[in-house]
Amino acid sequence: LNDLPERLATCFVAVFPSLKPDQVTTASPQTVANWDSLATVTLVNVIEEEFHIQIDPEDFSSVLSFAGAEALVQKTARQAP
Amino acid sequence: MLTLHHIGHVVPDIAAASGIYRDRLGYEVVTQIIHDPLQQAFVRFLRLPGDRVFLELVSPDTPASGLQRALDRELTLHHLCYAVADIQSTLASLRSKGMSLVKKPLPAVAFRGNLVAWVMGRDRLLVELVELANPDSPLAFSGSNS
Repeated sequence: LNDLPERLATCFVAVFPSLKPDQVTTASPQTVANWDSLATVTLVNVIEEEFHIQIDPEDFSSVLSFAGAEALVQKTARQAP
Repeated sequence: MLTLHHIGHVVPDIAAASGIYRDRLGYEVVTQIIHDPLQQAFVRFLRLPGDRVFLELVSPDTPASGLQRALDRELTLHHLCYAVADIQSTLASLRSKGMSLVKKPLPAVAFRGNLVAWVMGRDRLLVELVELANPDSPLAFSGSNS
């Protein structure tokens, strides 16, 4: 997962196309227009697809920030069979 | 195997919407208005005479319910619900095909405690699954009029 930040940034931009490259790592529902619960699930869906992992609903709050999503992907990938 | 069970329509006022569906399109009211705190919703099921698929009228039970946000955004045609015999294996299958788990299986008041789960794909189609012993048989709802 050496390229995790780059791939994760691609996920964020796929769901929030208005994000500029320098805004991705600080993106949150407070700073991104239209980041609602549907967008959160869509982001989860895109991350699952990109990293071939499955994220549980109780971990959704982790993807509300780039750093949280990065940590979650690392944790989930480690736990994957 | 999936069997289409109902289409969920979010409305602000279930009683008023029931009257509209009854008078305008000929629906019959199948259940009373049921409160499901786990789903943060009031629900009622209607059906056209002779049809097998139900229409579920849903409204938020509090302003904090996610359904209120759906109403605010006018996403009123809200979800499709499929009846399945084994909710866990169906969830595993759908997740392997690119759907994300939105809500883990929980007992639903409207379905006499049968398990209900939610998944969503990248197309943002919200899908509900309800586990029924016999998905092809008519379901006796909680609060049924019959």
